[in-house]
Amino acid sequence: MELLEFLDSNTLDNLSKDIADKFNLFISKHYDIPFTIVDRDGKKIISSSEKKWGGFNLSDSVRNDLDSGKQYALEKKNGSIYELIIGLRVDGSNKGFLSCEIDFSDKTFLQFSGHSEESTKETMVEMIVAYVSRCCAFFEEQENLKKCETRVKHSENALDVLRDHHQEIAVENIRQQEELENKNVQLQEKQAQLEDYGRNLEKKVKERTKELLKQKERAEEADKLKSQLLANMSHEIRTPLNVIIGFVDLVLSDELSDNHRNYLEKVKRNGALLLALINDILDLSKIEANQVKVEKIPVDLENLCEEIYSNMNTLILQKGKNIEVRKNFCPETKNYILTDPVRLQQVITNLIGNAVKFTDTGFIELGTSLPKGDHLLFHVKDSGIGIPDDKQDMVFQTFQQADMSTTRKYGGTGLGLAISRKLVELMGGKMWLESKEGEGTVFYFTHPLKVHSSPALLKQGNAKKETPEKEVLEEGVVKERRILIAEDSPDNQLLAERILTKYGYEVFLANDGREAVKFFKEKRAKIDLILMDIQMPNMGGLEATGIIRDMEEKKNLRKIPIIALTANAMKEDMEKYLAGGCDDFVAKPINRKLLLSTIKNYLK
Amino acid sequence: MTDSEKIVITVESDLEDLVPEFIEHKRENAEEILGCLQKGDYEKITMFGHRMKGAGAGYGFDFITEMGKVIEQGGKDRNDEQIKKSVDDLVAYLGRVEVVYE
Repeated sequence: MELLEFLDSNTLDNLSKDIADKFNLFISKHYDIPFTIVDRDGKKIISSSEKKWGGFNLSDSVRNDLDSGKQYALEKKNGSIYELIIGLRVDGSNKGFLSCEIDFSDKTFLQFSGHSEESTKETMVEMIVAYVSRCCAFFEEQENLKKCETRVKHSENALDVLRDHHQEIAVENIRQQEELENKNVQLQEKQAQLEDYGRNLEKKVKERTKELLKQKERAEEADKLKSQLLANMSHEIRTPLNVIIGFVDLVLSDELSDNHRNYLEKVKRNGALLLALINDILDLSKIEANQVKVEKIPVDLENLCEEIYSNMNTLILQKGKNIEVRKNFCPETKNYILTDPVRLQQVITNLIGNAVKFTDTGFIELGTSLPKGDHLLFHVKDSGIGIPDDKQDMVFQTFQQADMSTTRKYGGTGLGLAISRKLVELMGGKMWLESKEGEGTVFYFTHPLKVHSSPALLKQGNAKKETPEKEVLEEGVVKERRILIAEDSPDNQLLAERILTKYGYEVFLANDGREAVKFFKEKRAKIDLILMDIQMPNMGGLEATGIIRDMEEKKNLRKIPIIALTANAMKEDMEKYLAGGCDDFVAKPINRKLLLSTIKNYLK
Repeated sequence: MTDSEKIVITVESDLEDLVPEFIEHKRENAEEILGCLQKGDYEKITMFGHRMKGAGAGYGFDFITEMGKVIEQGGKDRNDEQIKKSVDDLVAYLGRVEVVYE
């Protein structure tokens, strides 16, 4: 600032020009561009091509000055001649430096001041440095511009790169598209293949299904054959067994020694057990082969229960046991329910049979209740020996009783409960038990409560037993019962006649179905029951039965009991006879006791 | 057992008057069946067999019921040999049977 005070502006301008002359041309160039700084006389000061920072012979003091951040250093050379070294700085760091010798005794400089040599020198140096700095700032700017250009150039390059990249992407896109198309083709091929597999599979499934169906049919056929075989076999076993039991019965009705009676009763008891076992096996095998179909017909449940209750009394009397017999029916029992009366009775009778078997004192109760709205709950309760906890599940299994000794002591086939439970399930219910050893057992089973409101539609099952009784009442006289035997075999005619007349029945004979129908047509009032052989010449028993039932319907006659006599004892046959209008059946060859008891059922 | 040995059958005494007639019928039936066989009347043979089957055991003659079954089947199958053999067996049986009434 001092300098400005004593230098007029003109002088300053001239000075600047002087210095500028010295440096201008060269310094305006970029440092990277080779330059040489020369003095006023054209004497070379420094050339950038030497590219020396250190190559330049700087004294230690100058170097230190510059390295420690000072912008310039001044070194005395000779007398008033000094070397001025200025760092050329860009971004605060030295990129190079320039040097020039300045003779401070030079009149040019001294002219400015009039002051001492020393103060002129400082001012001068400052001015030069300031100028160089300005130049450097300019260079720096230039440099930045250049960088910009470079950046632009780079950007252009980047654009090129982008363009290239874009192209690459486009190429890649095309490649990917092609790949996709390829994949699509492959996919379509695979799909076609799949469809082919699908069609094949469908074909194979169809073939396999057909095969399975064939196998199923074969299995069903085999099952049917098995059932048929069992049915036949049981018939084959039953026939001689019935003869044995029948004969033993006859012998027992004669006078016998106690010893013989005892033996024969054993024969009879075991024969009966064997017969029951055969019947049970037949029953069970049919249930297991799904051949048992339960009926759903309206049944007067109270009537059925009362009948079973009455039979229960008889059974206990027969066994000579002192047991109280109880009944406990809920109000719903008065309904007509849809059920299979034969099967329902079979189940309850089996449970009662068990109860009687295992109870010596106390009571047995048959009862019903309605814990849930849609199922009746039946129970058979006894105060018998009970079943131990660990044996309770076992009793429902085939051929299982709670104890092997049970069979020896109490008898039974061990099939009854298994059959009963399956029948209950077939009828839509469940069966279980509660028992405490030494206190008694309760068997429970449920049955769907489907009430039938129109008793008028009742099947003969409930009505049949009323027929003879009503007849007695209406006609007002109890008369000798008369039976028409329709039978083509003279031997069986004679045999049946002999048996029946011996028991007080009056007997008429018909040699075939035609004669039976004729007899019925003309002398309906003379007979109370017909024994109808099924297989007869001219007209068979089923055909004759059908005609008789038609006539009854047309003339509104009461139905006459017809009992089928048949040598075909398979259940399917029996069902056929019942469906054809017969009320019951007796197998041939004739078992006299069975024949008499069956007839008695209808002619009370 | 030889052919000459008797076969003892026990029958209820209330059938005593019927049994000889029954056995006589079976002998006649055997003749009739052989007659039918010559005429080829298998239907009648089947009927005779069926009747025998249904009656035999009722009188206490299980063997006759069994023969009846075989003859009935023989008639259905038109099996001359089976029919003839059964009739022979039946006749032999009828010759050896001895009825005891109790």
